[in-house]
Amino acid sequence: MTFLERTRALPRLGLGVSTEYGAGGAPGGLDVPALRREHPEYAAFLEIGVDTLSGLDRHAREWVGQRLPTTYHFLDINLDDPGDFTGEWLDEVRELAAAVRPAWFCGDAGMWHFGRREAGHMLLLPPILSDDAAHALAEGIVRLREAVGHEVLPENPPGTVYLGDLHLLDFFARTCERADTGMLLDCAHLAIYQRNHGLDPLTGLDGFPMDRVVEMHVAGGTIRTNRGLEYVEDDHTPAVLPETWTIFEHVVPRCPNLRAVVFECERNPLPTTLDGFGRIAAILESSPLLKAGAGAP
Amino acid sequence: MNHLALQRVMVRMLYDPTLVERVQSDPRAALPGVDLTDREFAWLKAPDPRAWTADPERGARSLTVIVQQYPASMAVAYRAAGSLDPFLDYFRNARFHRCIQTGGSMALEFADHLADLTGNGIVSDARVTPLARLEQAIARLQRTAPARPPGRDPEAAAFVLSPDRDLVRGAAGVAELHAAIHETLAELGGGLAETVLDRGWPIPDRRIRSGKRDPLLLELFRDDGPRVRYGVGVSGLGDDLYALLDFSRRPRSRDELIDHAVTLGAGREEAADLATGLIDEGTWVPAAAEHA
Repeated sequence: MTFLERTRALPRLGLGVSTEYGAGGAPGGLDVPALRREHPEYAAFLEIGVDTLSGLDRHAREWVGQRLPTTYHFLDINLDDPGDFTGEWLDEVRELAAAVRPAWFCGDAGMWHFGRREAGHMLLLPPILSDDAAHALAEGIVRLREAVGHEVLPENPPGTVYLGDLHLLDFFARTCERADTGMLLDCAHLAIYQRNHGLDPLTGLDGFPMDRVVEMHVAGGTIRTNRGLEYVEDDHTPAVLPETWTIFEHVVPRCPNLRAVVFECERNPLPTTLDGFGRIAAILESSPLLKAGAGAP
Repeated sequence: MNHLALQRVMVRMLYDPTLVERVQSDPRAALPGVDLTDREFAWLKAPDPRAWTADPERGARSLTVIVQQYPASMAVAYRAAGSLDPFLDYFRNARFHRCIQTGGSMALEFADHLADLTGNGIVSDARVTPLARLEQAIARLQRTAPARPPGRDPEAAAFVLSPDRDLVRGAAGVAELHAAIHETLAELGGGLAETVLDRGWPIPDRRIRSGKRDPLLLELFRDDGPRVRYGVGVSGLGDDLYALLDFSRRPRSRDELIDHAVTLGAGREEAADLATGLIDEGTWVPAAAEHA
């Protein structure tokens, strides 16, 4: 069965939030249960950032204990590195997935750690934007999908440095086609890439297979400078950059299979996030599947 | 798989601004032994060099993680060095670069950096290297132990030293100094790395005699709380027990283990009781469980 056939079985999750180990309990962190209580339409599902060394924190366990919708966002697999798929890691992932019961797996398709998984080795680098790396990444996506029995949606990672001869969107178009998979398009990360390369926010989207986009991320970022060089820190503040909104507004109505959107603001107090949620919800009225009244999955 | 080699070079450049400069000047000369094409070397030169150093605190953050794994040796070493500079230099050091390029462990390699600093006189306290070697062995056990405790079966056909245990011969007195520093750190509380680097408390007065070696048993224990943690205890052993446990690094039947204990001087009944005790407490585990 092709991805576009498989995608019909994926649930429409709507607008949700993300968390990672310790975020919910951190001072000033987003109170997800309160958001769910007061604005259920903004917390329709929880994207749980998971690394196997840490597991699930109390907040994530409480959410899954209520059998509420989730997605599994991996934080510890270098999909383009066959050596990273150890049996022990896969066993732990399957065990965690059994507890989380995610609608699908997703996560940045970059380098999450150098060397083996251990304290101090974690970082996040974008993939090398080359045809060879797209091949390797596609093989890793298929391998993980078959190992865990869920769809695996690669996400375009952020970065301050990108290497390779492909535009990021061309790289992911090739990857998705070869792995026959959908994609998580992170609008903030794409905006970072375009700005880094001096490109218009929408460059490359005209040739991108929009029907592959199943999930999107929106997040704020902060513009910083290093010795005169401007760059964007992907710090998930509620202040979303204009280019990110431009991309989101452009893409949403063009994605026939869009099933989920996350506003990544996990380390911010709830009141500061409401404007962002409201704007995302308004834009989703242009989504074929996620607009109000589009029907149940 | 050149993309993996390229990504490792990226990591090195993100840590080391001197490497960024050298790559800008002559990438092939700056990266000996890294098998990349001309096109890939050119990619490394393409980004604005300032983009590589956008996060100047990366090394300091990583050092904090390392300090947490070398608390005793770093407490002594930091006092001897007088600043963090020699330790931050690790991230510009050939050891570090080799480690990253070959997929090694940044923390395990750090013990060798500490030994280098002691050897070349930058860190002038001779206790640092034996402490670092002990903490390196502890860190290694934490990495090699399986995710779950090995199985138990007193009737197994063969036994082996548990993968939750390791044997080391440390400089005489190092285990006592290590324990004393940890006791002080526990009493002081606070963030571990911050406390280690607080020069306001005295290092416990314990001697290390580098010419003599003490047999030590490292034992991993698990705290299966909400977030799984591992700890490692260090205890002294007699030479005979060390030799017996060393013999059990390879699978042995219970009878072989008892026979070997007898050759080391135990009575047969004493050896049988010892074997039962070591199996019951999980120091010896079924050979098949080693990889469970």
